[in-house]
Amino acid sequence: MNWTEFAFAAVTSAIGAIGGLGGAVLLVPLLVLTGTSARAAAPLGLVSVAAGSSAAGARQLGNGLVNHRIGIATELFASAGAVTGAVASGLASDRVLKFVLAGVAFAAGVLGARRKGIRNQPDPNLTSHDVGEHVGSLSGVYQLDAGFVPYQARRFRSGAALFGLSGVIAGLAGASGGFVKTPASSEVMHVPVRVAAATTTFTIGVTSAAGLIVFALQRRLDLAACAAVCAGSIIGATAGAAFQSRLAPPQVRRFLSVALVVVAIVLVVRA
Amino acid sequence: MSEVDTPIRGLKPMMLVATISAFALSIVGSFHSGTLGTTASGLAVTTVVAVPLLRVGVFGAHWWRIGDRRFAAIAASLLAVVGAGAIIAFL
Repeated sequence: MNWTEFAFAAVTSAIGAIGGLGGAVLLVPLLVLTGTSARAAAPLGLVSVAAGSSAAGARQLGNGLVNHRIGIATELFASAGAVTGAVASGLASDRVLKFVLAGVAFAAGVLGARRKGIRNQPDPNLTSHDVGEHVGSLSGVYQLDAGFVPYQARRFRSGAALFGLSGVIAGLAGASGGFVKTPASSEVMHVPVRVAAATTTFTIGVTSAAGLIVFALQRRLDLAACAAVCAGSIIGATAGAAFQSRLAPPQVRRFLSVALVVVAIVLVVRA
Repeated sequence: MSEVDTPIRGLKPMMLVATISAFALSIVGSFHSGTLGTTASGLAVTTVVAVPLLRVGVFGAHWWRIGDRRFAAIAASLLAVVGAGAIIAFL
């Protein structure tokens, strides 16, 4: 058993699930700082993302928060980016990948701390029967406390461009890119934060699958380490989701943001 | 008001079974060396890779059935992009 990978994956996935940033953005730098090469750590990051996304998927399908039409339409660009990033990472040196990783950790830290609150307001004419996504459009209704909130995605092209960028990041660095996707959905496309976060949890699984297939064909998967990360991530993501309602996500996000900025600085110094 | 899409029956339990299977396989892969461990680890990774892609395929087929052809085509395009990436990496 690779206990280090298992423990790191469990802890980072739990923190990531509570903070809403995803665990891989913390897992990959931690693995690199403890001696794993950036080239070997990136696939482990994507395994963690895919496992965490699967663990959250069953729970999220029941609450009507995931908008699969928005997710799949934007994921088209993210997956193309992930394939590009994964192929490019096979050609880049370990030092370059460390700098990319440091930039990703820093950006995740800053963006995670700037996350905003509720934009759309409940509509009193809507009921629980209206909850879900609408056929043929990028719109829907979700439940917020006792109210029901309608939403419609806007500025699709700008959002799609950012999703493409998040895919490149995922393929290059092994981080989920969720820290770009959720703000892109909520701030650029005006999708409510809760819907954006739930939809991102689904789409990061697809992005990581696209990247992992490339890594597997490049023979970059250490299967024993992958198994340890997979087990740790499923436990961590499940525990994190269970504790999410008991802890204050903004405080966890602030802690995670500070940790990511520190990790980014250490990575640059040691690169 | 736009038409609300109906949830797909059976998808939630399928995802739950897949996640439990991936976890069990990864535990076996972590604690066993040799062929059994390698096979279990490989199957665990294959499972977590396949689950989101299957979900895209299931939704694409569902949208095709209910007449939402535009989004069915987008789902098929997404799977084609992933497939094209695999071919590029293989070459």
